[in-house]
Amino acid sequence: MKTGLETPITVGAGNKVATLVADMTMSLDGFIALPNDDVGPLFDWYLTGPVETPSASEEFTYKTDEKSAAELREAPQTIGALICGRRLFDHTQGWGGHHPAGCPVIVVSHSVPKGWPREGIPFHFVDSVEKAVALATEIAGDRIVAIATPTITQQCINLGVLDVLRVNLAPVLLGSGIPWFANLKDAPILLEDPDVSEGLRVTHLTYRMRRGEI
Amino acid sequence: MLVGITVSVDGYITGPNDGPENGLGEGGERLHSWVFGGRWTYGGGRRGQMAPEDAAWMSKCWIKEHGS
Repeated sequence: MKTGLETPITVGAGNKVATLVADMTMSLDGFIALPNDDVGPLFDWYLTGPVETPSASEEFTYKTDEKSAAELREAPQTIGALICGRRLFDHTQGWGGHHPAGCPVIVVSHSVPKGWPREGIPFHFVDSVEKAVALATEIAGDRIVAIATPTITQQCINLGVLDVLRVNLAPVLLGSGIPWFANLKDAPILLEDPDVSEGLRVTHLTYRMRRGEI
Repeated sequence: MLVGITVSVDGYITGPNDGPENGLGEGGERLHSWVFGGRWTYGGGRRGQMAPEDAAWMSKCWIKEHGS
């Protein structure tokens, strides 16, 4: 793996390699957004439950069921870095500089957006998935590296570096939109049986990637 | 009316080029490994029995949905 990082940093460097977890909310028909990038009813589970959990962003409070809330409360301790694509970064306007997960963000982009990087804001810009994985792993130490972009999920699967697939399955058929799992090489790809957690307007399915057997 | 079908995480119910004698498409037999209790193929692999917990689930959901 290439480690020629543009902005080498040494935060929380541990010996253990971080676990790469792709984590997105998906419709039952396999889409993570509508054709216009909006999430439509996919994120209802973040917004319709009885339990409030503050996010790292002051502008946003999660409202979920208790089980999902417990996991969201743990997220800042368990997620060490997050990788996303430029499309998502632009769509969210860089989350105003504060990703709800409250961790450093590595943006994969062929160009650095105007006005970035910013002093004191832990957002990094690299020009390849390989560099993003190397930097995120270094930052995360023994914590999780979360991946929140479909194209980067696909590339990590194709590179064989993804460890866990976490599907937050929303009870909706979008009909059309942006698929999470397009462009896979070497398919079929086997996953282990999932850990299942039932929530309100969501079912969390956590799959470990199966190694070895085709 | 209900519909039930085995689907991959990415939303496919067969592999490519499904057709007569190859209903689940190329490589699609994996989708029904749970039905036959392990790996099998149209080419003659072993077709065993569903695991007891899967069989129990099948009969339960059938009864529940049909009220009989």
